[in-house]
Amino acid sequence: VSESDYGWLEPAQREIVPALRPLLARTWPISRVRELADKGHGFDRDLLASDAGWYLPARPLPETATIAQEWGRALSPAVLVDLNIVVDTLTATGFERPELLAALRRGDRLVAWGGSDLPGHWGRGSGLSLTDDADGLVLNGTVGLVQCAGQADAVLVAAHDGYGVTLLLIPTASTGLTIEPLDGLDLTRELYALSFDGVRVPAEAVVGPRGGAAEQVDRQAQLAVVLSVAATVGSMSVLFEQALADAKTRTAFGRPIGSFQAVKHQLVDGGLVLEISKALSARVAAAVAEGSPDAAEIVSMAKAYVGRAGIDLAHIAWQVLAGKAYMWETDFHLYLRRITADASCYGDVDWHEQRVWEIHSPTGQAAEEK
Amino acid sequence: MSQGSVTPTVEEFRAEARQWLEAHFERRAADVKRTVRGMVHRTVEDVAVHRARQKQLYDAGFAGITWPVEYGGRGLSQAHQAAFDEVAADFSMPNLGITGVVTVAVCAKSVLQHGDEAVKKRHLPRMLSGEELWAEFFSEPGAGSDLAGVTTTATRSDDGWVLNGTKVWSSGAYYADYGLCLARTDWDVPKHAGLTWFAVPTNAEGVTVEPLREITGDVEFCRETFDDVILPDSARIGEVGEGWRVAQTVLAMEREASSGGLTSGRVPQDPGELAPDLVELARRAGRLDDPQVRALIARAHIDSFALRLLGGRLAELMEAGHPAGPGLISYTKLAAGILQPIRAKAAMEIGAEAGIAWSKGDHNGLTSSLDYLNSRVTSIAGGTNEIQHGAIGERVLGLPREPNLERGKTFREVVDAASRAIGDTPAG
Repeated sequence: VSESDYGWLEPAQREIVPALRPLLARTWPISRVRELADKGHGFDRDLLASDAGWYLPARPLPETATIAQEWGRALSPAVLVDLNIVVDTLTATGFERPELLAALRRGDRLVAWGGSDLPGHWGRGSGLSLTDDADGLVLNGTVGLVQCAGQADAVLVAAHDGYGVTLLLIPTASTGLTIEPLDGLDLTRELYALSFDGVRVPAEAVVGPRGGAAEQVDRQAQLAVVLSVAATVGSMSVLFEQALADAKTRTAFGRPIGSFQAVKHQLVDGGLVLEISKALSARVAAAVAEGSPDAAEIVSMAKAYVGRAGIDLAHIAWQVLAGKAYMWETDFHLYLRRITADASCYGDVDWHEQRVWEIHSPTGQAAEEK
Repeated sequence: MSQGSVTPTVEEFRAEARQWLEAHFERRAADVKRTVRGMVHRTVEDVAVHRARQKQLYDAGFAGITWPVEYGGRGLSQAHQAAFDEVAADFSMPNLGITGVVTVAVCAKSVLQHGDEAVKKRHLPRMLSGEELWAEFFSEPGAGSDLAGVTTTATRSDDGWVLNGTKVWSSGAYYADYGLCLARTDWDVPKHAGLTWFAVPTNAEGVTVEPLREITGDVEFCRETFDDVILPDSARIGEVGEGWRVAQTVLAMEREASSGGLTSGRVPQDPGELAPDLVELARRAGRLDDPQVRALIARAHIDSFALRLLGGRLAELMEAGHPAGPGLISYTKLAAGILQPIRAKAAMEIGAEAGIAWSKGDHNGLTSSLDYLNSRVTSIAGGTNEIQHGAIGERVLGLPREPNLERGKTFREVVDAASRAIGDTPAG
């Protein structure tokens, strides 16, 4: 096994990294990421079209996760996670508009994903209610943290109705839909809050069976975690490499700072949580791909662990890079912002830890025993 | 039994093992609960019973399955061993405690790699059969993580060596027959250059083995004093002065044994039950509905899954040719050394009053307290967390080394300089 231009690569990376890394460096160089961030945008939909095959791939999930790790390294737009979910959902539900799917895959159309209600509850569609009246379907409620809704043609949301959960594809130009741009920590993540006030929903907007989307909505949440955890791991890797390189080359008190135990040991702690995060990232991708009975639990375990570990590692890199990290011109803060926001999206650490408990539901068992 | 020249297939071997075990060993009792403490503490009399059963197993060809035939093994593959392990899981197998593990997984493996032919022929078959149990005579009151700083000294005599000094924290030495002993054979060369290994019989004249009561109140590890112990040169393992090179093997074996054989690549991929001991503790404490307690339990559960996955990942990386090679395994030792104390502290937080007092005979209360008291075994024994941090930092991450105060000094000068640094008078 020889070292490539990219250092030693793991088997899963060997086909993907040499092809994708140069391409990402051309399409999303950090200078472009910064340029967009300065304009208040995390994303430019024209850029998506150029290499859509890498961003909306029809590949096995573990491979897509390896690709997502590269997005995370390059700080490619965080919305790629959401776009993958939209394509997956529309494909899986047999949505009868092949021309839209084809356009999405080409990057010619943009559909945002509304996966969260405003209080940050992910994947249940609890913020929206769908009702029937004499003229058809009406949608009311709110969805929070929708990426790129301001640039999108439509948004895919889940709503509760008398039947259960229903998926809907709502044009962003709909009357009664207000799309409020949000300010936020992550400069590369363009977020909006959506409120639906009596939005009329045409029958063809229903995606999949009416009231029968619960499983698909769970699938969305699982995919979101697989891809976002992989992307976080990629971002973590970059900060770790930067801090390591700094510790090896910067000198103080007559020696490289990395020779001091206080610095060295912190970096090893960072290396440890990074290795564990990579292990969990690979395992969760495999578990969801296999449809493992433990998939839901492993999803929450991975998101909770990597959420916390990402922030821990970013702070270790921050402490090692020290004064340099405080400068706008270094990229450190862009990664810190991304990793920290990743931890709160698609379910935060606490939400997923409580999910792990609920999946086992030891309280329920206790009640049965009595 | 069937130790003929024809190699059985794995399935033949599995059938052979099952048939023999059915005939000779009892089924494992169904109600035996998995304990959180893997090792069992035993009396010398207990051990004698298990030794006899180990011998029975060995005579039938089911001990040392993967070991070379010329040293008493069966010469079969890892797959044969795995097949045997699967079958054996249903039976009540001999349990020689921590010393049984150390004898084979650390001492015998080291002897196999570094002992001369006579040493290997003399000891290995008896180690596999349970007739010889070996303990580790490594650490000393003044040398633990800095193992190369041992001062137990072997001095040449006419036809052998004379050993003097003290060893400590030797698990199970009170029922062992030999100690694998690291001794200084030259004080006037650099620290790592003056070391040599010996097999020290625990019944030799001048050897005192003193079982020690440890933090839990149990007796497990021991202190040994050597008072002019006479050893023949045939007790030496490896070349004179080559002890540190040999130690690299010994310590790697120890790390692998203490990381639960994680490098075997057979890592369970499912998360398993939700920390049953902690759930029970929360139930006793009446705190099952407390979201903070739930989060602590979920976190402990996630951490233990993460630790298993880490072991699997590192094994894969090593197999795929990661440049850091076997040095990666220190990550699992460090992870366990970090996570075990976190878990034990979490248990105390979850249990609160129920964690510090319980009805006599309550297994759960006792277990969480014992876990708490044992929670820093991994972070201290076999190279502390600090040592693992240093090893990973330098050998895996390639960070620059700490300036070395011992460079260019003989061991005698190192000891003198250290004594002066703490204001002592130099050693004589």
